[in-house]
Amino acid sequence: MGCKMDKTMKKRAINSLYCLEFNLQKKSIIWWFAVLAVLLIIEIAFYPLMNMMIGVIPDDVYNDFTDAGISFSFDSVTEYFLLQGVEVLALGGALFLCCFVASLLTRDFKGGQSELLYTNALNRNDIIMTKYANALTMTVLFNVVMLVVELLMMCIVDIKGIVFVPLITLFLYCLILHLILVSLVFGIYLLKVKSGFGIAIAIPLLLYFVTIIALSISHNDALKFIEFLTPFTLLYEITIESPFKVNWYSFAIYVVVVLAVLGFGYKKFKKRDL
Amino acid sequence: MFAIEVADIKKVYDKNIVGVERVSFNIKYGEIFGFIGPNGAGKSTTIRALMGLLKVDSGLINIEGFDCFTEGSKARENVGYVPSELSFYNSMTVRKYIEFILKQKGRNFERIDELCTYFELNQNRKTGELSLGNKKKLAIVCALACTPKVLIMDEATTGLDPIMQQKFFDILQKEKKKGTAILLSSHNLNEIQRCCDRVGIIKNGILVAVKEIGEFQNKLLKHIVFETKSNLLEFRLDGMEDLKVEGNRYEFNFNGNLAMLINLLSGIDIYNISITDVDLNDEFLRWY
Repeated sequence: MGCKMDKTMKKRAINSLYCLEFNLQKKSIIWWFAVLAVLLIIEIAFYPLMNMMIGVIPDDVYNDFTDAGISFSFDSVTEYFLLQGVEVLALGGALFLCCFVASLLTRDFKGGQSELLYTNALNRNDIIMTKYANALTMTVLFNVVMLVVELLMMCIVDIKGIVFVPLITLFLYCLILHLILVSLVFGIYLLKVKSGFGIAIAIPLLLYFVTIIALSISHNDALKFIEFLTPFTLLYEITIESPFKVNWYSFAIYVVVVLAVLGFGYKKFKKRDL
Repeated sequence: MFAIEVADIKKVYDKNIVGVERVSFNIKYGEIFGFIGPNGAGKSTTIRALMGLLKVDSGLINIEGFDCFTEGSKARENVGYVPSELSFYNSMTVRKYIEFILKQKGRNFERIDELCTYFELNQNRKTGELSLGNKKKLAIVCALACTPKVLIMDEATTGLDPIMQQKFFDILQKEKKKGTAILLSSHNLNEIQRCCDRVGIIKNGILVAVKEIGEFQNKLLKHIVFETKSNLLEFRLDGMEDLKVEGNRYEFNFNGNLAMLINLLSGIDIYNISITDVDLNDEFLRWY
């Protein structure tokens, strides 16, 4: 009667918890993937139309836009995607992944399953680490699937216009952006386990709009610091000519912020009453 | 070593709301300990502290020698738990749910079929479709299927029909014989009196009494009220408890030598007397 939980049993328990999270959110995950994939497909499908529209803009109007720093000439579908497709991938993915994280942590407390989950032989540390692993796995999976969708669609629209290096760099930087946002939201929800989805939606939206502002005022030296307030600026410097260009300062600031929030959230969660 | 040790625990929530204070009790292996009190008395706080869901502010709270909060995973390794509020993952079937819980506890699936048959639980139904009674049965099956050494059950019989309740008590007795320590929290005093060995009564966060159930079952405990015309300077006898004196009215419980009591009372000028057996209901109401 009774037994001690050895390493094999513990691994089995963690695996079953890890798989549970994906099973519970199966339908939601499929819907989000489908919607964002369709948006990406539509975005890329518009490339020939966009090129045609740009072709009929009068030269003087086109020159005025270029002088103002707004460039929209696309020599390839890759260049088009680096300018236009990033929003769907970055923001759409951020919203999905942050909501996924919110659901991971809050569902058990709002639904009442926490009494059964946190009263078994796994400790809080194991449960939280497993959920974090779920979040990281979903982030990688999402970005890989979207990369495949992009490439397939680009093959259909303009196969000769595919330039792999900047697309792979975009994939990697987008993955890093999403990992940063997922970790940040995870840390915040460790502090507010019974919150709704508001935080998960507000954070990526807010940071994205700060990015828009930062890009709009990029010529204003006094307000240039705004670009460091958002991790989305990681993605906006990639071009075909400079595929590895990235805002390392923004990246470094956010890594520090995320580690601090995660650490603080984890420490508080371990001691809180559930 | 006791299976469950609770020593002088205190828990105060935000805004100075006292959850529990000065609660101490121990439960041996092979014992069923009843835990009774009205809503808000502190039963659930004590049980949640035992399950590591909250940290007490002071005191000792152990299961099998492990602190319930700092060593929670070790403390809970051999614990079967039935919470009062039930919530499952609605899309899972009963079978899948039990298997998930057993994996979380590092157990095999040996007892699932036996227990589901015993409690007449359909393993193929989704947990979201179950009635309250069936949800309770599911929680009980999950607790028993992990072959626990300690069972902690918070209002386990709520929602069960009388036949299932009887089956539940029968299986509790079997677990007790195997040496399982059982903590049973309930509002139903009859069921506590029926199956427990000892009972703790909690009021306003304080454990006010711990009694052997045998005292009530063997009718050893008497409640005596008498009124006398005399002024008694001293009225004391071994076995006398909780003496209350209001003017010439004397009220107390007695579980000592009845012959000596009768001898003592015969020397007093009594004009009114009442002697009744004390049951658990009386004992409970005495504190409220």
